[in-house]
Amino acid sequence: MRRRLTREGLESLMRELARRAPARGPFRVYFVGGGTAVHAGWRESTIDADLYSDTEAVFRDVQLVKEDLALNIEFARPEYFVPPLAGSDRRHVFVKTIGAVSFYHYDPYTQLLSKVVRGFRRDLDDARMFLESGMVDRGQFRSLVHAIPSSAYAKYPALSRESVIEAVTAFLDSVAPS
Amino acid sequence: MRLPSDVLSVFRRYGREGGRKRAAVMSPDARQAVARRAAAARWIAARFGSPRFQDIGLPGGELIDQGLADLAAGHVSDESLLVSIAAPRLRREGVPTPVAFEDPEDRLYERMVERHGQLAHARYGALLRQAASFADACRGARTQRKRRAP
Repeated sequence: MRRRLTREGLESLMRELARRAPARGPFRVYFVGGGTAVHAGWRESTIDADLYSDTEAVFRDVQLVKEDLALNIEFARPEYFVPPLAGSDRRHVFVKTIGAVSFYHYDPYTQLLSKVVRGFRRDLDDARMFLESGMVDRGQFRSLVHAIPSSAYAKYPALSRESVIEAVTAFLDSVAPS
Repeated sequence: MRLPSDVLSVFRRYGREGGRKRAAVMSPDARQAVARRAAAARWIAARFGSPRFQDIGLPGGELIDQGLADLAAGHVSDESLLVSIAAPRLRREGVPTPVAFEDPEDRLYERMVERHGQLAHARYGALLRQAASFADACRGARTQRKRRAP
């Protein structure tokens, strides 16, 4: 049975990924979803680690990493599910560098949008923490979502601009400003 | 085929009598579960045109139908845990989920581990994706219905 991913597990995962990454770097690895929540201390554990990298070579031996650490790993980025937010590349949050690999939390604003749109229980718990922790500014989040051009929704047939804005507005209204 | 109205009225009368007799031998909890499920079905029919999502042809509709029925009966199943996980999103899409189980994510994952071992994560992820697809399609179904309405 694979273990739930705790903060310690996340640290082990980072070390193992760095150890097995090709020598010629540097590489970036981004945590998405549960990984961010666990590393930020919002949750004790997560069922899986969602990872993304713009250089897939860094995941050369990810099957071995997964088996050795008995963890569940998925490759995913928020833009698989929601339209991109402007300036996302500049908002990734640095975690640490080990060897040739630098670890980041994927842009919190895009992560938040993805969680609000899916809207499952744990997603919404994490979404509130993005605001309460100060990782995301509610005004900027609202502006970024409203600024998504209608054309960006063309690649997301399950979503409409109206439904996304409605979900975001309902979510922000449900969380009192701090 | 539409039955004549006098035949339908006889069926309705027998149906009501049968319902009363069945209710008389049920426990209060079971009666409450049936009433809760019936209320949900009426709510769904008013918004989506049919009391069962399976009949509407939404992806994962059979899972959600089963989950709502199990949840109303207080029965812990993969489906009722899935509906509990997705409850806030389903409510947003107009699907009534008045009750939900605690810690549904962990409990559903544990059930997957018990049954599927190393495939647990894949099966768990597939269920979550089905619920998300269902919720996405729900919005479309509701919207289309609104547009069709005079």
